[in-house]
Amino acid sequence: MSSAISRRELLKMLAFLSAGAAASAWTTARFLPASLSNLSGKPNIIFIVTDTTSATNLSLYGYPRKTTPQLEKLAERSTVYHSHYSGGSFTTAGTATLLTGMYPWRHRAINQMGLVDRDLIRDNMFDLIGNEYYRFAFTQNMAADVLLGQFYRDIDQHLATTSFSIRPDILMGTRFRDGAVAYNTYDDFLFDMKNGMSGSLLLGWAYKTLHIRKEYSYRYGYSSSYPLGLPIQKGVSMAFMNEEVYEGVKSEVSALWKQHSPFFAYFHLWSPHEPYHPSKSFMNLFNKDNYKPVEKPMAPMDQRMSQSDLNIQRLYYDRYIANADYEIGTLLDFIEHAGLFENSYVIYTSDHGQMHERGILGHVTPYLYEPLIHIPLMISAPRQTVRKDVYSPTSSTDVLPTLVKLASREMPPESTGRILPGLGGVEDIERAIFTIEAKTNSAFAPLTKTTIAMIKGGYKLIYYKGYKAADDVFEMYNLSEDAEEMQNLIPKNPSNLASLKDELLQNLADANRPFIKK
Amino acid sequence: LNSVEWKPYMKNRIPSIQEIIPVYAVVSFIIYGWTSVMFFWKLPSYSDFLTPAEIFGALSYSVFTNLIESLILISGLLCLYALLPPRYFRNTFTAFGSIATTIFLVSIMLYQRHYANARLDYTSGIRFWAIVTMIAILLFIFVTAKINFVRTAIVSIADRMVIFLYIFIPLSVICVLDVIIRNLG
Repeated sequence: MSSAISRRELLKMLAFLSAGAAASAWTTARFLPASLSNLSGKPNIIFIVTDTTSATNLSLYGYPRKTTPQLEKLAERSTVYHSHYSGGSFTTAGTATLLTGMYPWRHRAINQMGLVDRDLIRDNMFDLIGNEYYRFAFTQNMAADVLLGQFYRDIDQHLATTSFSIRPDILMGTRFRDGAVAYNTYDDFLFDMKNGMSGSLLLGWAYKTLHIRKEYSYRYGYSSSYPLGLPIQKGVSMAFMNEEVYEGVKSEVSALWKQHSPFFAYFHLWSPHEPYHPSKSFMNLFNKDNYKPVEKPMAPMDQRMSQSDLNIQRLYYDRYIANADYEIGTLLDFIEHAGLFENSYVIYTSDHGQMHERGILGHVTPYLYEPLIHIPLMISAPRQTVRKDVYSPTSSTDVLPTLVKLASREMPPESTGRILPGLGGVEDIERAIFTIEAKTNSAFAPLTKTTIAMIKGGYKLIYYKGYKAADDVFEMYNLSEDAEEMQNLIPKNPSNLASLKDELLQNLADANRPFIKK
Repeated sequence: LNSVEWKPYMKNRIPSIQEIIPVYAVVSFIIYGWTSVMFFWKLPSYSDFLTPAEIFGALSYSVFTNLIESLILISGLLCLYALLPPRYFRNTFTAFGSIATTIFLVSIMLYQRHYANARLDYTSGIRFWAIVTMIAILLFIFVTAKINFVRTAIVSIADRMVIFLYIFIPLSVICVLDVIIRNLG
């Protein structure tokens, strides 16, 4: 008996196999989560930014109070960066650095609520990561949202800042097909809830009046779960509950996982930004724990809050960090149960830190001490099970080039940042890292009123320029021996001071050159 | 009221179209004008991150909203007029309507300006504002009713405002069409 297949039988078999393959592909696409039918093979990227989170207050980095048990769990499967610095000291400058991979003196988002230079808008995180990714963005911070607004052409889904907050979802943005323009017009202009006047005289005023009356009751009507009132974003009408926000984030991640793959999701969440309003479960945390922060000399140019008041504020900040950490933990559990750690990078960082020392509370200050610019960074790679620690200095300018590499794309040649060690880059202790503060300097002029911090070779050089109380003044600290920055080395005139000064001033001159009128 | 009585009743209480148009012109001038000024404040930032087509889109949504606002206000005024006793207000719609809406809208401007940075205290002065605005409207209506010259001047200014409707109405039509086209499909 012959085993040969006739031509007719072969054609039948091929037709059957093709139909089977087509049906299988359709079924996969239709019924399986997009992540499981991801044919490009690129990993998803879940990018979590918590606002105003100083690495110096995280137990993850050795802080005596146990503020971040959940992040420590994540660290066990991540690369942890121990000397990571933000490019700026407040949301606009810090976030713009993160999203463009450039220092503030280049991207020029140096003022509060400022914008990235129009000519540089194209080189943003969402564009560079490529349209093979479904790109999602959500921030609760209005200053960061203004920046996302600049990049909206490269974002496939952009949630309004008020999503998951007590204020109902955006007013008009989703009611129209061209959401970005409608959102800009209605939510950011005609019915603007921020400080200032609304673009619509009658309806804008009526909306604001009615809503703020409602918000008042929301903010003070939750004392059983939030004894200090609901978390709020000062300056805009946004009160929220962290548990609701993180539930919203989970639902968005779930939707992205089911519908889009690969996806890039950027979440920039408000807590633990001040005012510190932890929920009731965290209100008694660290009570009478006898922790006494190091008392440091008063900084002459800023607020002069007493040490005891600062310690009280620090206690609330630490509680609020613990509260945010708990919620991050629930999000990480969700990611774990969904199996997303298998095929996703999970990145955690902040935009800038926070001061509770030297008489200063907050981050709107000309100073650039460690609590303000030393921020957390952790990256968990797909299927990573072992912790890696990187101690060499890294900058928030490095995050974008690293992401672009993870997405198998190329960075523009003029990029400032480097690929992070542990993810393709190499450790370089002799590299200079900068943080730039110039919020009162014009964005269109050379930096003449500014503070610049340069970290290099274990040293930190801080340069104050243009302030009444400090013009052309330097401070220098040996971070490896004096992490608390107690001993200014300038009077001792260390041997490397001149070369560090030259390097800092040269970089400033280079940054200023395009803005100097001929 | 049965259907036979309804028509003359309303005829007596709803002003003629010739009286309504100048008031609508005053309302439009203030409402469209406010948004235009605010829009020009926004324009430099829009030009930084929106294309010209998108900026026109923002203008279309703004003008579309202004149209709705102005229609709501004039409708509200007509409803109020229909409820008030006609013997006191016959043939006075242009003068009284213009002065009342102007004071009302200007008072909102002042309110918005005064409480621009008030945040949660935004509504703290709302009762005081409502009382003062009401008194101001009544006072000016009284003055308008008593002083013939004032009434004539207001009517004459309102009549001249009608010229702006030749800009606002075609602009509104274009912008409404743009909003419709943008949201088709």
